[in-house]
Amino acid sequence: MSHPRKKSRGIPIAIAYVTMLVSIPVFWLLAVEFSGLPAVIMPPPSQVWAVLSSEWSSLWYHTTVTISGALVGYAVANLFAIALAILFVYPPWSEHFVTPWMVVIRNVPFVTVASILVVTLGDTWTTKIIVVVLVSFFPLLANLVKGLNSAPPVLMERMRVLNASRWQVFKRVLWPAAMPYYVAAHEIAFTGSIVGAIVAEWFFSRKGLGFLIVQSTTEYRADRLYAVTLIASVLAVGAYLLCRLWEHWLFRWKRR
Amino acid sequence: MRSKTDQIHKSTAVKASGVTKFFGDQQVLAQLDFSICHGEFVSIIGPSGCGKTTLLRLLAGLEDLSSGQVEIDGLPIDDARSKQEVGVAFQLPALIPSLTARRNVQTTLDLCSRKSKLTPEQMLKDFGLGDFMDHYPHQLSGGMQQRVNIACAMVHEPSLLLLDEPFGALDEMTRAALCAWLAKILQASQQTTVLVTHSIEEAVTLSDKVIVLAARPGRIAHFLEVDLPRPRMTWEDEAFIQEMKRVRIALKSVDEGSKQA
Repeated sequence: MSHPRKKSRGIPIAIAYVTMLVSIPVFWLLAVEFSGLPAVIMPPPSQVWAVLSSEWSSLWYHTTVTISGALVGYAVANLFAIALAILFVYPPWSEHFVTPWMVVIRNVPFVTVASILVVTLGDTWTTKIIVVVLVSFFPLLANLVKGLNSAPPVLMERMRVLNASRWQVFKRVLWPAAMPYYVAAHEIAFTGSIVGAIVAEWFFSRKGLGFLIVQSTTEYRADRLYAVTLIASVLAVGAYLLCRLWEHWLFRWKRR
Repeated sequence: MRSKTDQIHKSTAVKASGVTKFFGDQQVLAQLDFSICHGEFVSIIGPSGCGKTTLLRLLAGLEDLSSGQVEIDGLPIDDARSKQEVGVAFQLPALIPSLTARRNVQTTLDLCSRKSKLTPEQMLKDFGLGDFMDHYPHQLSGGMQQRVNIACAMVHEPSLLLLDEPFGALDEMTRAALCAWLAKILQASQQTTVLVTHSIEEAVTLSDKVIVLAARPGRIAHFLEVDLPRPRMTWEDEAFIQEMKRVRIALKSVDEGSKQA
């Protein structure tokens, strides 16, 4: 079955993205031109491009540090979120028991938690991982729990009548039902993990994009600050688009 | 053609004795006794809230009995369920949206330890869905989805097939077409079946026996035999119309009794 209207929707979206990409340097140039601010405060795109070229090896090194911190933290957040979400389903009362802890941990400002972690654990890899986990864990958990509980009751009863094991029910009904929610959580949490890694580095680290932001600010290197902002934005947008691509592939059957 | 004497095996497939169900303080079913022979098609009809679906859920092992006993092929309900002797099709199709029709039917076989002579492919062909095997549920009409749903419930050749208003959500014409189709399918398979329905026409078209339940609490008011040759499904047949009237009168007496109570 084909849906010609749906297919044609792809073209305006692509045009919208291209327009946005072209507009950024245009707006930037206009801002430089009309703001009257000196290049040391608001550098033109050409100057930032020059920094990206000349300092690329250093920028790339710090970028890889941020990416690895974000990825490891995100993997840990996923493991915890999946494990807890499954625990909440088998048995359901465990959710009531754990929820107060989750509420407290989620609502303590993570910037203060980060500071406490620096004091307790020092400038270590673990501190950064914990900060990333704190930022990305809750959207994953909330969506997974909602998704696992969204399994159609009629399908659950079909499984019961067929005497399916817990694993079979999880694999064939609960997990597929949770997937749309899980994928939606990635769109927020994956990007959030990169932001979390940068914030963690911004607080205490001696390497990573967060550290470069602090260093560039204290040295009045607006050109490098803009370069780091560009890299961080590309990473975050890339993470988001990767999620969308995964979603597109995962739910390809819906487009048939 | 299915006839009472030559095709239905007379051994007991389902035996229910003293079936009683309470939800809290409320008694939903009271002391139901009945038996169903192998290959028989039994419909359960009655006014809303008389416990039809509860009875079906008890037979499926989805609810616990408050008292009484149900045996399927001589096995208590839980044992029968663990041996996958029961298949159920509900009003809402229980299909996995990310699987094709073929894989949805295959899922039943994957979950079952029992052997079946039937294959999803053959079953779907027999069900008139040969060209739609690799379609996903959202690509199928409501009637097609329900046929896949029934295939999922039958493919492992259960001793007892339970149908809970399978055509209840469909339009009148589709409903009539599917009713005729189901009569043909079950006539060929000799599947022991219990159908919960609100439709007298469906009950008379499909059934060998009709259980009419009275409400509050649910109890058997009439146990009617439908002794008509098959295939039925014709409003021009006077015997069919008379049988419809007989069931309607039984249902009306039960309904009036419930209202007076």
